[in-house]
Amino acid sequence: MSEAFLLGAAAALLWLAVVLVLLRLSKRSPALIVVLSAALVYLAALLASLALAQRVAFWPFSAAYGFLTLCVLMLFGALYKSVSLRMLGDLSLAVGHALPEQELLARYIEEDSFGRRVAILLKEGHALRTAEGLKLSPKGRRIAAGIYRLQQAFAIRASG
Amino acid sequence: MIGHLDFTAGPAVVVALIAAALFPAVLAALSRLPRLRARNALQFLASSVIVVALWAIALCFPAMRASSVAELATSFMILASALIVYLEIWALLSRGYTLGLLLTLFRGEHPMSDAQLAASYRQGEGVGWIMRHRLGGLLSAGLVRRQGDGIVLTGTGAIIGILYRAAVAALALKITG
Repeated sequence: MSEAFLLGAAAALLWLAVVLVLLRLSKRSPALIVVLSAALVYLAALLASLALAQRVAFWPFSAAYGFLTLCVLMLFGALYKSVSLRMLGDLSLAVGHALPEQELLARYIEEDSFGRRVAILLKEGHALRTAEGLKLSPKGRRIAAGIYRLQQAFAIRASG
Repeated sequence: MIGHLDFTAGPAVVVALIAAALFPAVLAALSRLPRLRARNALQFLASSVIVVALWAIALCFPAMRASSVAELATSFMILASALIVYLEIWALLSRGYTLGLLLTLFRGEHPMSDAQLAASYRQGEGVGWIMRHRLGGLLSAGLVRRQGDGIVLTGTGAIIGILYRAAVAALALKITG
């Protein structure tokens, strides 16, 4: 069983190396790169284990790989999307580690983060820009309706 | 067995899979308790504690006990992995910024200008809410402090900020936040 743990850990390390290379070479979405490569490396490692001469326990291997990659994915998600962490990073660059509060508001919410997220909605085809303003595409409406129902199921009143 | 791949699952592994499958039901039930209403982080924490406790109790029964330390570790990692996946989904549903904009357009039911979308965000609280909310979190965690009209990093906040920039550079991320 400990061989399966080692194999899972080795596969997770291989995935991390693949991610570090792909993030530098590929122009695709970093989120897509890390998630898709995690799934592909897992499948490749499972297939490779079929060719091994000795028995590999599926559950310990999958548990070790899944746990290690998910820990890294959680950290990656925070680095990639967290507004709070970005504020800390930018403040650490500012003179005296300080910025006026209103400048922070304008920089992160109105100019940068907000505009970028609207651009994502447009790029992914979830929203359309018309003469009357932004509106949801049929695809965006379907996704929003699904998320709304999920929020209702878990009594989440609003996101953000 | 397929080739040399052994799919045999011990009782502790089965217990972890059942506990992971139970989690959404526990969370859905707890989110309806009046005392936990609108406290998304607390709802998740309480649900996690209940499910982990049930998992630990179940493993104490002789029929479900792990046969080895390795099986116990496997069981733990399966449950922990499931909780991380749920946490990511829960964070997206309850804290997702882009998702919030999508839902604002959905609730609005008519086209909006960028300014109207910003003002209608989070049921009329506006996009400024997210800044106040995140800033409030940083202040209460002691990572930043107010100084006049400005926001200043504390020592811990500065260390995290520097580590964050180093990690972003190591991963070659061009856009974050």
